[in-house]
Order: sequence, then C-alpha cells, then structure tokens
Amino acid sequence: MTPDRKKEFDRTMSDQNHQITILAENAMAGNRVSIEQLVDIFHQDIFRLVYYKTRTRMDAEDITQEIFIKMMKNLHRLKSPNKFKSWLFSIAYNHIRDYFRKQKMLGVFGLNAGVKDFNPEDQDTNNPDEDLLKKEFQDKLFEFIEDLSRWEKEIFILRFINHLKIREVAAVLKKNESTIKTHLYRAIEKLSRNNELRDLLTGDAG
Amino acid sequence: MDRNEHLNKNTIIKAVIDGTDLSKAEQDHLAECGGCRSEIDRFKSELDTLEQKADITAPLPTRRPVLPEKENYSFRLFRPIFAAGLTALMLVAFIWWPNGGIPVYEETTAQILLEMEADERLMTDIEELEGIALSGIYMDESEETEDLMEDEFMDFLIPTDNGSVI
Ligand SMILES: [Zn+2]
Repeated sequence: MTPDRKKEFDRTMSDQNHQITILAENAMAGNRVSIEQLVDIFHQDIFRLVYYKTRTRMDAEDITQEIFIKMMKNLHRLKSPNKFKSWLFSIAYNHIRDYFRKQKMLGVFGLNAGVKDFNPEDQDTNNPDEDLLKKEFQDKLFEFIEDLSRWEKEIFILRFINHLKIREVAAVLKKNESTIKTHLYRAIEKLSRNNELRDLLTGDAG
Repeated sequence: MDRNEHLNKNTIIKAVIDGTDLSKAEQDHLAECGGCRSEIDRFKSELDTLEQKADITAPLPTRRPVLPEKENYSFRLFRPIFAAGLTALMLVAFIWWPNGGIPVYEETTAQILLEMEADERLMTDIEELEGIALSGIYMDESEETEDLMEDEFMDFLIPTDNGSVI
C-alpha cells in the first residue's frame, strides 16, 4: 500500500469507526433502525468468525442469528459505544465457546454425532475449477488452524480472518497486547514453515 | 545487534507484527537496508493474500439475522419483586398455618423446600439483573482471572484440546 493509499484507508477506517460509535449510541437508546444497521455492518464478519470456528455453514447461520439476538438484548449493558465492535466480538466469542461446551456436554452423554465435517457443497459456485481451488485453499487453511494451539488459533482467526487490529483482539479476549503479539508471533512462525499453504499465497492474489 | 547485520527470521516476523517493537539498532538497520525491508514487505503481502483468500473462499451467509420485536423488559424487571412477594406471602402463610405456626414435620419440610426454591429463583433473577449471566463479556481486567479460572475448570470437566474446539 502506498503512503497516500494508506492515509486514505486510515481516514476511511476512522470515518467508519465514528459511524459505528454513533449507531451504537442510538442503538443503546433503543433506536431500531440503528440496531438493524449494525446488523447489516457486522453480519458477514460475525458469520465468517463462526464459520471458521464451526466449519459448518448451517450451524454458522444459526449461531450468527443467536449472537445478534444476544447483542440486541444486552445493548443496555454496553458501557462504551466506541468499543462496540470489540464488545460484539466478545459476545460472539463467548457464545461460540458455549456452543462448543454444549456440543461436548452432549457428546459426553452420547447425544450428538460430534463436530460435523466440512461440506464442500456448502459453497458451490457455477465454476467447478474455481470451487476446487477454493476448497483446496480452505482445506489447507483449516488444517493449519487446527494445528495451532488454542490461543494461537483464537488470535490468528480474529486477526487474519476477521481483520481485527491487535488492540481489538486484546479487548475481545481480555488479554494484554503483548500476550496477543506473543501468540501471534508463534502462529506466524508456524505459517512461515507451512510451505503447502504458503505456495497457495504466493504468485497470485486471487 | 549490530546495525550492519541483516535481520534474522525472528526479527522479521516481529517487524511484520509491529515494527515499533524493534530495537533502535534494528530500526536503524531497516531504515538503510532495502533487502530486509523487502523481506518484511514480502511476508506482509503473503499475509494480506491470506486475509483476502480467507474472505473470498469462505461461503457467504444465505440469510440475514432476523431480530425479534423489541423485548418487553418490564416482566424481567418485575420478576425479582414477584419472587420477593411470593416469599413474603409464603412466610405469612407459614405463620398462619394450622397448629399456630408449629406445623407437623412433613409440612415443615415441604415449606422449607418451597422457600428454598423461591429463594433460589430470586437469586437467579438478581444474578441475571446484575449481569452475571453474561459473565466474561467485556468486563475489566479484575474479572479476567475469574473468567480464566472458570475457563480452565470447564476445560478440566470437558477437555477442549482436541483441536476441534476453540
Ligand atoms: Zn538487512
């Protein structure tokens, strides 16, 4: 990114943050339109987080729905509207954690079939070659993520899948920034040794 | 390190995460060495590509979340008051019980059980109101320890180390 583009990007980001803060303030006051706008802004981000954690689209859709209902019900508890994004991701993070606990609990009693496998039909396009490439990348990425330790995994997903800043990741996970950096360092170091995945990253950007 | 020395792999990764974490000598070297700078840029662009590809290859949600109509909080707010009222009523009933408030053994047990149940309900409602139900969500540092302990306890009960869980 050139310095000019970087400046422009930063300005756009700060405008967007400001807009989100105002929406959050209105949402806290019970403004329905603002609440819906926040859903529009974060819907895909939250879905992506849940998808990368659960690896199933069906569950991800349901869990995403539940997270936004939880958001709505707890808006009155939000203390700083300018931290809405981290707050929402905290809700999502905790909700997903509870989901896995319930799954585990059911598993202990033999009431579920375990974590479902990735279904390639989840994301069919009209282009079989493209589907295959997508699937190959997703498989390698999931494989890489699975091999990370628990915190490396959490932090890698929030930072690189959800594009959160280190400061935001720290707020979501309630850890200090240097702890986040340490785990991030280990995750990136592992990535640097993963030639299979890196081969898919070099050469083309699509 | 010597400012004439190239950055090693660990330092390159550190620079990728946050350039300001480098030592003065490392930063000085970087300011003068195009080789190390391009190594960092190459790494960063790989990570940018990973971010883009993770976006492009992930499926899109097929439906937008549908939020319920605004929840009526009044019942929630009145629940503890209701529970307190119920406890008071039962206390009155207990005093006015036949045998002048000295009930036979079975009745006492039933009464205590009922009261315990009402108390428990009341506590649950109070806890809910105080936000304990949403524990671990965006609270300050002092509550981190508690959350982590709870986390570790849950991990002990239900191990989450098989890679499939958070
Ligand atoms: Zn150098």
